[in-house]
Parts: sequence; structure tokens; C-alpha cells
Amino acid sequence: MAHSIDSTPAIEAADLRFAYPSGVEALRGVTVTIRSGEFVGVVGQNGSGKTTLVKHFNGLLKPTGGVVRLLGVDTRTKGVAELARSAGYVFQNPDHQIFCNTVREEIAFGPRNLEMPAAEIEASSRDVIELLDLQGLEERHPFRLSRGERQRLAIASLLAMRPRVLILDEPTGGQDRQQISRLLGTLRQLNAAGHTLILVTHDMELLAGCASRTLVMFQGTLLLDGTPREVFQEVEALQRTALTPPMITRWSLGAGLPGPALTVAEAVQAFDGHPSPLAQG
Amino acid sequence: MALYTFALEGRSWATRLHPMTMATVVVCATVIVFSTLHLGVMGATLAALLLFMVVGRLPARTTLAPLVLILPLCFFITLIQTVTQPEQIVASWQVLGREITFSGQGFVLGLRITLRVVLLALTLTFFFTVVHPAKFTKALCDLRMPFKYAYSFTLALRFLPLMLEELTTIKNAQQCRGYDIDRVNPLLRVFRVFPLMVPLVLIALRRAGTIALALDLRAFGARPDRTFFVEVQRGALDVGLRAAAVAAAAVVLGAVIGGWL
Amino acid sequence: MPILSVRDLTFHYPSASKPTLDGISFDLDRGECLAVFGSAKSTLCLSLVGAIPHLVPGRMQGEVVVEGVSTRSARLAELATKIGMVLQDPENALFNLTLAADVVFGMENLGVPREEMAARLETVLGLVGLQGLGGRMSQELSGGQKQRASVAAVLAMQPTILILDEPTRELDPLGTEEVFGLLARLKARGTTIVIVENDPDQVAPLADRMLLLREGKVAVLAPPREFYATVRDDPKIRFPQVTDLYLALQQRLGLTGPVPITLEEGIQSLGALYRQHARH
Repeated sequence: MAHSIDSTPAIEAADLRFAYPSGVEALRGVTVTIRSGEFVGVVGQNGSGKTTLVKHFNGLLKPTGGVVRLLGVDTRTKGVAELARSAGYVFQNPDHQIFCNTVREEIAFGPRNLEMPAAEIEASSRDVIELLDLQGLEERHPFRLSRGERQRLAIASLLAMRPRVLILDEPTGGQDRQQISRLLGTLRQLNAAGHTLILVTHDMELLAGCASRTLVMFQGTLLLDGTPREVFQEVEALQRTALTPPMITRWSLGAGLPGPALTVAEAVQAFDGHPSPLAQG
Repeated sequence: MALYTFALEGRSWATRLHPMTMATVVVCATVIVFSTLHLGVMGATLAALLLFMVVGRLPARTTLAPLVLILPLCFFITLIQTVTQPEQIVASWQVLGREITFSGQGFVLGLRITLRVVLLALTLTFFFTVVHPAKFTKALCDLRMPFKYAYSFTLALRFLPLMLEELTTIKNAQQCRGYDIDRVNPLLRVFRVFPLMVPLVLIALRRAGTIALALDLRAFGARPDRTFFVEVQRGALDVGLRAAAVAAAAVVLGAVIGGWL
Repeated sequence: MPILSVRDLTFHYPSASKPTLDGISFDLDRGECLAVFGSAKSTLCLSLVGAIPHLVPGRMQGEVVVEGVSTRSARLAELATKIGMVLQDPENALFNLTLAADVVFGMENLGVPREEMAARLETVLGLVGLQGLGGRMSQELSGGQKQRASVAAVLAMQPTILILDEPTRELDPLGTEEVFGLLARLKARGTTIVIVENDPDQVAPLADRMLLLREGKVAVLAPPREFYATVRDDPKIRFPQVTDLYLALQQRLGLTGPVPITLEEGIQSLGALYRQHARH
């Protein structure tokens, strides 16, 4: 699933430090490399630095110490608008960016800023409208869309810029199970097509169901870095962060399964006696 | 912005003043400062304000910091006066085929106007530093202002910083779509704010609607005789300060009208 | 007598041909906790608290009776002392500059005398776990603290019924824990609670009954175990994962017995089952 397109890592952070002008240290030396094509989940309590960290990936924040490279480029050498070509950042609240009169215009805004040729904008818009299930809504006024539709519109408008890396900040707020599952399917599709995905979320169940790698942030440091299965087994460390693994994972550990189950489906398989990925620990 | 007074509570006697006392001081200072540009009068007013700041233990840094915001304005005022006044030309330059003159008298006039602006800004800053918004609301209601108007001041103080934060978030969100208003010529920026303003206005409207609901659910406006948790008292110091401020304003105004200044 | 009674509640938004709420009827007993799922949840909350019909434009039919008083005939201020609502985003509910100012705001509007305000302020801050923080500026509080402050501001008016519309949506896991801890304490003291909440892990152990609204009508109203068993095929509802697991295995393994809704129950019932299976 996580295949490299080329050898340049998507994101490299070396001893990344960040302090706000007020002096508060939000990041205290984070070192992490994210390879092209990975699907990474970033978790942590509010104030752990998880959002501060991912904001460095597309240059929204510049390090006060250490260095961050996006596709090999030091983020301090370029502005956010320029880096937007390589990394798209979807904000948590879609209403922070929506301002056009039609869905179509909204989606074209980003590509126009990047001066993509008209034909490419056309093609790109068509692709993302289909991918994010917005067919039939092209001429609709964004204010008339439901919250879930606006959220998909926000993702579409970032994706239309064809960034190699996509960062999403809590994209599942207030959505029901079906909508979340649909979004996950889209994200998996994008990942399979080669996009590097970085998902910031509070939802451990969501994370367990899609990410191949989990970064756990705690008080400005990267506390845990591994596959969800590895991370969920670090019970003590997780306790410190007051983050709890998904219920099914805790159940599988409490019920004595050979390894942590990440999803209900895996737990069901354990009952079937299938040789399950759980046995790998 | 440390313009809120709560940090001062207990550290400065000035917070015990009645809000209307500070309001009186502001109004009188405004009258004085607009009636004359006499250096002596303005100097004395400045001295009085600084004395108040020292005796009242107002933190110098946070009280004087907002003055930095008006520095560009002061610069322009002085420049305009220097360049436009016709008397006492001190120097002249040829720029783009036109003659630009620097007037010594204009320069001094500009400085005086600057001082006026600084004094106004100072009194306002003092007001916001010393007066507790909730007490100000109560004082206004005591003067028979309907609560919903008096309260709008508190609401503004509470939500303006939030709106500014939203604006920053919106700016960042649009930057992530390749739209960087920071890179646009500052003079042209006003024409390119649409992608920032529309989300801001919508968010503000939505927020206003929710706040209105929350206010109604908290029985806002339920009865005209609402009670107040904060108390405001008027003491001897209040009477004295008000009298001093009004007297000073009356003297200056009288002197100006009478032609002595 | 039920503390809250909804009878044939129907509501049309202006110029809408189809009703958003269509003939809703249910009763709530004192001290009960009801969780609401499905569509039009917010509209229902607004109807319970009196915002419909007093504030929200539209056509309301039917009746909502709170402690014997109809929301239609009572004034909003009177209803505020019986039933209060906590909103999704605490930022919009804390409109004063300090925490104490927000807590006393409702009482001031109701004309409560000063000494009593001071007493209730103390009590309510203690109840939500924010004692001593009255002087703190609202914007300095954490998300969980803000939401608890919002609850305190509502409780200061002493309603016996509390409505919460997605109270943990803007909060991190720690904040969510704080809020649900508070709700458990309130329930233990006899507060009646109506809550709209998507996080099943927290809401399942708290709720006495769960209500599913479909197309504006009451589709299911039952205690949690029965509820989850009944709605197992609804793709929109999120289940506690142990419940999901149990229901997935139920038919296949012919399971009988109570549906687990908490981790402990899941380990008890399904853990033993797993060990049986593992031996084969």
C-alpha cells in the first residue's frame, strides 16, 4: 500500500522546534521522515503540538529551530502560496475558505492562483468533483450545501491543485458513520493513486481504520511513531497522553486475543479462526 | 492586548474609581486638546496624564504600547503639514518636475497636531486600562441607558479579538490555496480582500445568530429591572477628580474664548 | 407525572412543504437521560427548550410540556428556570469577559438578588469542577473548561432539565471525558438530561433510553441494548465497537443474552466466548 514514487521523502523534519512570539514552546525538537505514498495519522490532545507540527509541513508555520523539508525543499525558502503546489492543507472548518458563487468557481480558485492552464483546470475539476461525489452540485451556491457537502467541497478545492501531499485537519467533524466511511474510501483511493496523506484527528477508531502509520504527539514532542498496531500496544505511554486506543483494540487486549484488533472486522475474523494479522503482534 | 483591567484589580487604586469619573476625564481632556494647540496647555495635560499613570500604578508598557499604532498617522500628519504650509520655507526640492517645499512652521504645526493625537490616544488608553467593562455597563445603565445598548460594548470587547483570529485563520486557509494577500502591494490590498471578507462576514453572521440564541436562552431582556453582580461606588476621590477635570476644561475653554490663549 | 412531555409535535420551517418534525410524542421521567440520534435533532432540541416557537420562525403544532407548563404559553425567561440548553460551541455561549460574569449573567437577567447570585455562583462552579476560577478570562480556558463553564452558566438558573446539543464536538478526548464526567455527576444528583451526541462510547452507558428520528418521526425509542439491536442495519449510526462486534456475531453464533454496550461488558460476554472458540 505504501509504495514510494521516488526516493525524495515527502516530508522531512529535523530537530524541529517552534516557539510562539509569546515564548511558549509548542514543538521541542521533533524529528520525523514521511515517505511518499504513506498514509499517516497524527494524534494528541489539544496543546500537544499536533496541529502546530502539521502546519510546518506546508509552510504555514516556519521553524524557530531545526529544519523542515517538503519534497526536498526547505520550507523557509518559500511562501505558503508557493508550497501549495506541493502540499494541500484542508482546514477543519470549510467555512474558513468558501467564498465563491458556485461550486465550480470554488474548485477552480486554487488552480487559477497556481496559474494552471485552463484545460488542466477543467480536467482537474472534473476529476475531483467525481472523486468527492459532488456531481450535480457544480452550479449550486456553496451556502446552500449541507455541512458535509461543504467539507467535501473544501477537500475538492484543495485537491484540484493536484498536490502530491494532502494534509487534513479533523475532516470528519459532526459526520455520521456513513459519511465518514465514504470519506475514508475516498482517502484510501487517493493514497492508492500515490498521494501522501496526513490526517490529524481525535478519532482513534478512524485512525485505526485507515492509517498505516501513527504519530502520537505529547507536550511538543513526538512520543510514539509506528504502525497503529505497534502504537496501541504502548499502554503506558498512551496513558501519559490520556489517549485511549479504539474500544475494539482494548477489548482484544482484554479478551486475550494474540494481538490488538484495529477494527471490528479483524475481531470478527479472530472468531473465525482465520490466520489473522493479529498473530503478528 | 492587555487592555482589560482585571490584571490591575488590587494593584491599582484607579480601578476603584467610578467609570463615569474616567469618562469625565476623557471628555474634559478632549475638550482641552481640541480648544487649543498651545504648547504649554498640551504639555500640562500630558504631564497630568503621566502623573496619573505613575501614581495610579498603571503598567507603563501596556498602557503606552497602543501609541505605537498611531505613529504612522503622526508621521503623515507632520509630513503633510511640513509640505503644505506656505510660510517659513526652510528647504525645497525638485521632485518629478514639481517643487516640494519644507516649511519650518509647518513642521512645528505638525508636531503640535501630533501631540494632540497622542493626548487623545492616551486618555482613551487610560480609560480602557482602568475601567472594568462590566462596571462601565452598570454605570451606563445607572444613567438610564437600556441594558442592551450598554452591553454591546462588552460583547464587542469579547468577540472582536475572536473575529481577528478568524480573519487570520481565513487568510491562512486562502494562502494554502495559493492566494497570498501578504504578497500584494499594500496600497492595492483593499481591492483583493474579497476571498477574505466573504468567509469572515458569513462566519460573523452565523456566530451572531448563535450568540443571539444563547442570549435569549439566558433570559436576556426578560425584565427591565435586571440586577447586577458588579457594584460601582462613588467616593471622595471621584468627586475630586471630576471637579478637577471639569475645572481645567472650563479654564482652558474660557481662556480660548476670551482670547487669552 | 413525567417531567417533560412531548405530544404530537410537528414543525414546519417557513415555506417548507414537508415538516421537519412530524408528530413526535414521548415522555421523560425525572432523572432520566435520553440520547437523540438521526435527523432534525437540533430542531427537536430547540423545540424542547422553547426557542421554537418563541424565537425560531416557522409553524409549530402539538405541545411540549415542561414541569406541567406548556412551552407555547410560558415566557422564555420562565422556561429558562425549568429547562436549559448547552450549545455545541462554548465560544458562543460565553459572551462575557470572565467566567464568573458568564455564570451570573442569566441570574442577573432574571433579577436574582446579589447575595443569592454569589451563593449560586459558588455552588455551581463547585459542581462543574471550576471552583476558584471565577476571575479567569473566558478565552483563557481550555475547551473542556469552556464547555463546563457553559454548563455552569445554564445551571445557575437552576433548571431541572438540561439539553446538550453535541457538547463535545469541538473538544479533544480529555475535554470530552471532563464533560461526560460532569454529566454523570449531574445525573446522579437527579438532573434530567437530553443529549445529542455522536460518540457512542460515552453516551451508551449514560443514556437510559435512546431515540432515533427518521424523516421527522420517532423511529425507535428504547433502552440502549434494545436500541442498538433494533438499528443494527442503519448505516448512519455509530455503535460502541463491542456492540458492533456482538451484533456481527449474534446470528452466526446464535448468541442470546444482553447486548454489551461498554468495554467491561464486552470483555465479560465476548471474552469468554472467544476463549471457547480459541480452544477449537
